[in-house]
Amino acid sequence: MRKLSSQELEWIHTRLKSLYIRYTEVYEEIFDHYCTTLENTPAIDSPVIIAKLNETFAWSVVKNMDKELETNVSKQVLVAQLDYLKFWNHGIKGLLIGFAGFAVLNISIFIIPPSELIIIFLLSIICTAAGIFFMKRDALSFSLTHKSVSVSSLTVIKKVGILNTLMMWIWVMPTVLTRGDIQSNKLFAIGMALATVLSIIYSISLIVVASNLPKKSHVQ
Amino acid sequence: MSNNNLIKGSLQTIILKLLEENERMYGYEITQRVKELTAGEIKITEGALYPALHKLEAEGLLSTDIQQVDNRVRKYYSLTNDGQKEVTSKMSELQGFVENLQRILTPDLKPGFNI
Repeated sequence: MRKLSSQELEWIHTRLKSLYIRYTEVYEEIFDHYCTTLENTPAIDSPVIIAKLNETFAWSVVKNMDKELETNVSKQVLVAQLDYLKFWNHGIKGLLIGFAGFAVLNISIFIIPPSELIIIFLLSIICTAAGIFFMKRDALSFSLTHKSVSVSSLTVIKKVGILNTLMMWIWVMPTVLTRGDIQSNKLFAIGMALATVLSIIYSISLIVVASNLPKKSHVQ
Repeated sequence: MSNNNLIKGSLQTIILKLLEENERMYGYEITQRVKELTAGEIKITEGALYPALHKLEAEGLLSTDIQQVDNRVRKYYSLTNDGQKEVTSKMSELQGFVENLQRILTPDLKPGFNI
């Protein structure tokens, strides 16, 4: 096994960058594949081997890898969230948290007026979004040139975005459009209290899953 | 015989079986091991291998660990407890299929023939 020259490494990076690989995980795995293959072949064969690898990891193959990884990680995050939400599996502490959640649900429905629930809801949105964006900054890239991002982080941030948009449409919009009149409707108030509690529980599970995700290992 | 369509259906079983025998492996290593075991007759395409590895990981059959190798990251795959159980079931499923296929292709073969 030989050591790769800086020119060979440059060739690989140039090729991989031209593929606009979306996720760091895919970039790193393909990069390692290129390097290991070249390390096991004589330097003189490098251009031929690289050309073969370029055919193997063609644009469509890489895009499919990005897509498949996204689907699989999304599934993994959902399973982790559901596992976390099974409070009966967390022992006495889990049971206590479960009962506390139930109590919060009842308090929300019967004590807090809808106008104040909206504030709690908005605060929970802001806190969740801020917390997750802070923990998962590696999912964001404000660079004008393409940069791969972490798939797991991006999946979590997408879920926050979907949840908040959904809640905004089913709660905030009707309230704004009816200038608050809809809040006097008891059914609407109960529905919204339920939605708030569920969104808070969902957000907590996302924060826990996000904090357990592996840290970004390497960015090219 | 190097038929990609035939390999496609058994790729997950191949990966699980190799990991059962090798504790932990990375992508390139898997492709090379298959090549070596089949004297180059079967070649796993990387475009199918990596998505299959990611799918098995998402299903909880494989776990991964990342290691730094010469200034780059290498992802090693290994079997989880569920993965260990899955190897046995996938292997008997595949063996049963091959056995039935043999019966179809060579009807004179005695029932209970094992590969």
